[in-house]
Amino acid sequence: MTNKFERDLLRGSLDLVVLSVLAGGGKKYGYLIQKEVREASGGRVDLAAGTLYPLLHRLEDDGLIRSSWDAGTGRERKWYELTAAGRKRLSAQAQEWADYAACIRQLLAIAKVQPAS
Amino acid sequence: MSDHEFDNYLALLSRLLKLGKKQRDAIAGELRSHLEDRLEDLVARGVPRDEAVRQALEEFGDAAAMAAEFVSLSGNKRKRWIMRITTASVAAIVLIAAGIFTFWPGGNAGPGAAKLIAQAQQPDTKAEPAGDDKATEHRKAVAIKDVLDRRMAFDFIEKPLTSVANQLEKQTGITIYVNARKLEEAGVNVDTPITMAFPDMRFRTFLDLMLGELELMYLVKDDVLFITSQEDAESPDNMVARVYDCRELLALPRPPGSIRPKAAGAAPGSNATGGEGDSKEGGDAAQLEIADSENLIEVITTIVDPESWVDVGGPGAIVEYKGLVTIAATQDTHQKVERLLNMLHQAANLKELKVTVVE
Repeated sequence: MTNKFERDLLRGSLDLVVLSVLAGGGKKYGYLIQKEVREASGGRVDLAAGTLYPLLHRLEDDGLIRSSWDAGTGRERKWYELTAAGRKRLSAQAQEWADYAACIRQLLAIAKVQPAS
Repeated sequence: MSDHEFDNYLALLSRLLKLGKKQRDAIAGELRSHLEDRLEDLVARGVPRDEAVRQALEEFGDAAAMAAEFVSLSGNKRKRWIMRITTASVAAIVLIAAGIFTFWPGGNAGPGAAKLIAQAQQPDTKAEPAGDDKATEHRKAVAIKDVLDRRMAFDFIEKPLTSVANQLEKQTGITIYVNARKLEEAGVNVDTPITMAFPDMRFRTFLDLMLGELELMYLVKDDVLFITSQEDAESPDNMVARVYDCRELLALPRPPGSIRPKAAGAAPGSNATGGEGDSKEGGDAAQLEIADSENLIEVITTIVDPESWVDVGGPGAIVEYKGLVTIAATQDTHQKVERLLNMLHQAANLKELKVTVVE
């Protein structure tokens, strides 16, 4: 069960993954976000730094998150938090994913495909 | 805690990022904190330090791939920026251009064209009562420009910026506003003592020197000289669009025997031959002109603030339309562009450059 998800499957949902980790409230920096994603997914989603940071910068450019520098934790870090627009996008995307998952489940049920566990 | 192997990686990445210095530094700083966090975690877990450094870097992957991701992001941003500029200014530019072409008889740059350009200089005329006020407004703006070019003596010893500004106001007769909030946001202390003494220096040079040291900039708006942070001066709000009439410059004949450049991306059927240059070249001249405009843009973006243009992640944009070079940039950059273009005009024995402001 600890297999990682397929990259292609993940690609479309990375924004959602990062936004939802930030929705937990408070500010978080990149390393922490990476760690929380890993923990929350039981190790099945591992965001490489080379994916995570460009992604964070894009979300910031889009106004979904905002950042600030702070050295309060003993190291100068860039902290990210959700904006109102980000919160809105998150709930819209969450809805979309729930619908999508339900749709796939139904498709599989019609086709009588059993997951090979 | 910083490790020199991280330094090497980040320096390489930084070089690969074709972005402005500020952006490069921010990205390197952010990634450095990540690497150091990772190193700390691994060492705490008992991984030997050397091995931990290696592993942290390995997880980061190829610097080139990482840099490419960031650069492609800024490319998208650039496109959005250009969209913003174009929607705002294209209408104005087209109007001006149409006006000039209508009133430009043959190759003769008559005074009619200059007048038209001048009329377009105040875009928010609706807010202003009448033409007379507009003229005064214009004269005052010119006055600040004159003051900036005036030579005078400066003598400040251990004076905070605010009192330097006060004294400069008295000395020059212009209004100076120190934007304390923007300075604070940029982390510049208004009370930093300034010591600078020059018996004879142009006001402009002095400001550049003094503010450059504090990483600040100045800009002129509504007859006031604002002292503000670089970030604020480079924000879209403070970007100014200006049109530089480079048609005469572009219509210059090439020295005989020189290689003709390929007219890459040339608009077909463009035969806007401006200026007074003799038109012996005929059809060839038009073709040369088109290719040369790209060279001219290259001259400008190479000589003037090379790090400030959008293609390297800066805020400034430059486009050319039939010999009218439109630039959206900070006032500081515009001054340098104007100086450079005037130098080119002088070197080519042309009359002075015409500039239109479409703020």
